Amino acid sequence: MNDVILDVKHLKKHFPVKQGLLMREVAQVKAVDDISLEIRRGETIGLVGESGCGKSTLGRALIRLYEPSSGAVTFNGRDFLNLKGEDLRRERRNMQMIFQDPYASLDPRMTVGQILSEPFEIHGILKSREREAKVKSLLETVGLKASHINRYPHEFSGGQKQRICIARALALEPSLIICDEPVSALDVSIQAQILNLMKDLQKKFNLTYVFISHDLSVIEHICDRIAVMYLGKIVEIATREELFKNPQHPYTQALIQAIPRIGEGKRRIKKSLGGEVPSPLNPPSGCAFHPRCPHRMDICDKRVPTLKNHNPADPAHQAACWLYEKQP
Amino acid sequence: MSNPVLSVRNLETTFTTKLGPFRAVNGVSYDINAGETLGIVGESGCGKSVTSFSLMRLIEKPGRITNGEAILNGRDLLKLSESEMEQVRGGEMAMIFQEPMTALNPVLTIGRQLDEQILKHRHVSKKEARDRSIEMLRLVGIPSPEKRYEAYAHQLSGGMRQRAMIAMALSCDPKFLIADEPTTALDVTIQAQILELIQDIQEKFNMTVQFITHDLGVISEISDRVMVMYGGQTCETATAKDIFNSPRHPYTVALINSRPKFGHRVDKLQTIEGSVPAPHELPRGCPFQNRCPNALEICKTNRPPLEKMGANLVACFNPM
Ligand SMILES: Nc1ncnc2c1ncn2[C@@H]1O[C@H](COP(=O)(O)OP(=O)(O)O)[C@@H](O)[C@H]1O
Ligand SMILES: Nc1ncnc2c1ncn2[C@@H]1O[C@H](COP(=O)(O)OP(=O)(O)O)[C@@H](O)[C@H]1O
Ligand SMILES: [Mg+2]
Ligand SMILES: [Mg+2]
Repeated sequence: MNDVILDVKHLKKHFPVKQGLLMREVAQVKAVDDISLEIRRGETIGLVGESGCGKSTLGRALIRLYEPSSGAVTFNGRDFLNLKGEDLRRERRNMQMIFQDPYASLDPRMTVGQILSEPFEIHGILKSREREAKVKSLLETVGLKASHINRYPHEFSGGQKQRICIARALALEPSLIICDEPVSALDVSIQAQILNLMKDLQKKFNLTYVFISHDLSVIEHICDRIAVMYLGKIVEIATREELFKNPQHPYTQALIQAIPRIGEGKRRIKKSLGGEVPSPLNPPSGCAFHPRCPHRMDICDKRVPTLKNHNPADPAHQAACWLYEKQP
Repeated sequence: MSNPVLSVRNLETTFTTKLGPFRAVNGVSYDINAGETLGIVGESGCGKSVTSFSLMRLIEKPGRITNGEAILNGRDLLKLSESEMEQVRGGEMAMIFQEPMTALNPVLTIGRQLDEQILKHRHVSKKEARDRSIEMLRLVGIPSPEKRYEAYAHQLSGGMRQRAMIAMALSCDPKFLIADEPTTALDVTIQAQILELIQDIQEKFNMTVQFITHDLGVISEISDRVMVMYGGQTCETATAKDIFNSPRHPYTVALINSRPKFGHRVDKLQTIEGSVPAPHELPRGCPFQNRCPNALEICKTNRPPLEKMGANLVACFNPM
């Protein structure tokens, strides 16, 4: 039942900040700071949080598009961070990524056929005749036409370009896809087409998605489980139902309150959270959220709360907050 | 009926490109009453920004306002001379944008820009302008305004820059504010802060607002009335409640159903087939006809007029 595809332990990705003539390291941005997470086969796990909280960095570090600074990642039971050479290449085929900007991620000088053949060339799979057939079937899988094979990216609309990116991600039949804001640049009606397509593909190919978005309505629609991030850490993780029904962390509560509601008529809008995300170069002490937290207590600026379960009736739910701890 | 502050009739703005002329705004009419917020919503390219820039008379070549009137407090903006318009812009009416650097100058301090704006529209001393600038920065919630007065835009965070731009727009008490996607680039938390600020100020100064966004959630919360646009035309206008709860135009219905609604999860979203046609490929008749589940023969040849249907104004020969 609990088939874990990706097991992440104490993952860190710190970026050096260099300055001066000698480019000496003067500080570090702890973009991903000690994250542990189990991702189950076939699920969609959402990553949410304000911009700069480390969602994209985590997504990339999971599949080593960024080399993690430390920690462990087990993928399909293998120690992924220590794979090298051919082993790494082979395992990488199983993990793909889709980005926000379909314009930037397609080479304008290549035809769609060339773009979609590339993964097979790189990995030396399929003869050229078979490749063409495969590319045509990929195009149809994502709702485009086989006859589009000789067209260039600029001949497609934004939504169609994102379909091409999805087709490219599917080419090598991966089991895990990191989706970094895949619908954020698209119009509402096109978003719906892509979200439906992604759900269909997930069922068809038993895909696991890590779905990054700043749009909580989209997250609620597509995710089974959600991790809320703040300054490089997961502050709460739960199933979709529980996270939205019983959010525990004050940050999660504030995010949910801020979601604009459709169809309830005009209202007096009240901010749910003051201030802004502090600089990651100089994060607040203790719980990094304490300067903005409406419930802050004495302990909050002194000690970092650990992410753990606070409600035995809902064992999959974890939050990192002193409100739920017996204080020492 | 109350007297509208703004009354737009048959506004038409044409761009002449290599592919020929096309009407980015094609005969749009609407009123906004005093103190009211009209939300304009629609997918990208439907003409929201061109409508706003037309009112501000900021349309540049290859574009031209080719027809219509826009009466603001009794004067037709489209007939004013450029120098009269200079006084109206930033005075009687002002505009805020998605990208604050559209309105802020990177090489001048925030304070200097605010001062200049005030001195242009008000007969006040430099000292008075400075006091008012700092007061405005305080009003929009910028902490330590005396310090920020000396700052350059790039020294501020995204949210603070947005506030500085709002301070600029509001510095001369405009009675009419156009907000063009002012929160689109912001996180939801900062978005809520900015929306709260806009509402506060609107109430305090009884300002009339035209609020543009592609975000159905934001439009639902901030608008008294909503106008839905497609292909340079108005599809439907209704109160914020009616537009979401009893939409009549097939495009309005499809748009609402394609958006995931928080707290009302469905397994599959409704979609609209195809995508918005390029502006020079817009068909004769109704612009939505080739994607419309309700399309009739007449939709191919005739443009549906905007007519009262129940509480809504709808441009459709075969509404829901
Ligand atoms: N390549 C990089 N070099 C240095 N800092 C980076 C790099 N990528 C991201 N960061 C920093 O790491 C933090 C997290 O960024 P990111 O993962 O992009 O956040 P999100 O996707 O949640 O908006 C930010 O402070 C960002 O400035
Ligand atoms: N300077 C310009 N030159 C040519 N076409 C333009 C120009 N500005 C806008 N358009 C076109 O006018 C139409 C309406 O644009 P706009 O009002 O910006 O849409 P939106 O609803 O996204 O704000 C679009 O098709 C756009 O491509
Ligand atoms: Mg990101
Ligand atoms: Mg626009």
